[in-house]
Amino acid sequence: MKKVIFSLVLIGTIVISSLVGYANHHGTTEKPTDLGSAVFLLEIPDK
Amino acid sequence: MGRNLPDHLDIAVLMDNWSVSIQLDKKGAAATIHKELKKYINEFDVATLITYYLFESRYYLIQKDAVNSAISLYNARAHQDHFHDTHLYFLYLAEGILFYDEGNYQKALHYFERAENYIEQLDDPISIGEFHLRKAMTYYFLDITNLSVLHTARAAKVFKSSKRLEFLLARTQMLQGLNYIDQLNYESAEKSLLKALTIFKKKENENFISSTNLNLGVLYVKRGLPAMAIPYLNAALQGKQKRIELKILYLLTDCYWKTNQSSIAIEIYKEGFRASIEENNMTKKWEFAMLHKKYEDRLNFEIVWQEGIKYFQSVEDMYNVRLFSKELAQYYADNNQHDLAMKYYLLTLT
Repeated sequence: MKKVIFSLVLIGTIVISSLVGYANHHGTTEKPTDLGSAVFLLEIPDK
Repeated sequence: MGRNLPDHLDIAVLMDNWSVSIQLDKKGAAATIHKELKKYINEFDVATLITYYLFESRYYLIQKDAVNSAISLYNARAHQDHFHDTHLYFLYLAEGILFYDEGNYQKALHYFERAENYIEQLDDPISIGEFHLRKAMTYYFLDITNLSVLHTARAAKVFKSSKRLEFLLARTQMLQGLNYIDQLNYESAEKSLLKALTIFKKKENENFISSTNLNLGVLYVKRGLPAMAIPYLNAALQGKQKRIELKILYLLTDCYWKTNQSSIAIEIYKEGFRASIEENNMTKKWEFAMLHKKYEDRLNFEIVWQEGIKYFQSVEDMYNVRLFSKELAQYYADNNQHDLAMKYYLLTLT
């Protein structure tokens, strides 16, 4: 019985998780990707 | 403007040249003009002085001197009563950039939004494209993917208009690729990243070649193709970009373990773990330690992962809290430890 309840709650959690997505609007976010070091510089080439 | 300026000196022209030098990252030329302008600072009228300080803030940013950049903004703000809309735009933009550099994306977004109120004052399409790219980058790090996509498209529209903006277009394509990864659209992600890589290679820009190779590595890791990720991650490592070295080493270690190349994995793990200690990078230190427990030291897996997640919570690194909690929750679910599984599944929602 406990296992069935757990499974139902778990499925509910996963469904809610997929609905709300992973948006986090608080704190820092350390992603594995990189957008380049030149944070301030857009390097417009010479004409 | 003051009477003590030499006749031959046109401050407006000098200021324009300075602005262009800063935009083109011509550090030497920008430094020379800065030195020249600084001599006559007491002769400037208020509007020129404000423009000077706002450009100076940007100038210090390309010199990677955030402290003096902030001081320039402080000096500009002393004349805030005389600001016109373009001044306000550049003030908020600069403040946003400073927060972005600190990794405080929420505050950066706040200032970019304030700057956006004055964007209509700009008549230069490149500056408008640049603004949208910066905002898209900020949204990307905040995981607000749809808005990042929107601003990326607006930046791309500007940068596609001219061949000379190809480098900026490549940066935009790289970001598009990363947004596609977040949307799980892996085929489009691959196309965008490869397009960006081709341009960066043409421009021989090692910095961005490395970044794109890393991003392609991330793409293949997410697709569950570690063997395909390895060559890109090794290529990224060869670029010798210290700034992203730990990220690359971490992913490489994981990929070698996943492809059953344990001896290479351990070598790279040792290198990465040591480097994370040397750089006092606690996040990466925990990531490496957790990786090692996952593959080599199963006895201590649970305790180290629990402590690691606690650490990520303490520094509000919610990306890692979700990432590692998801895997730990799955582990507990597979082992019928339902309460613990639930605890960590709930953390994936934070």
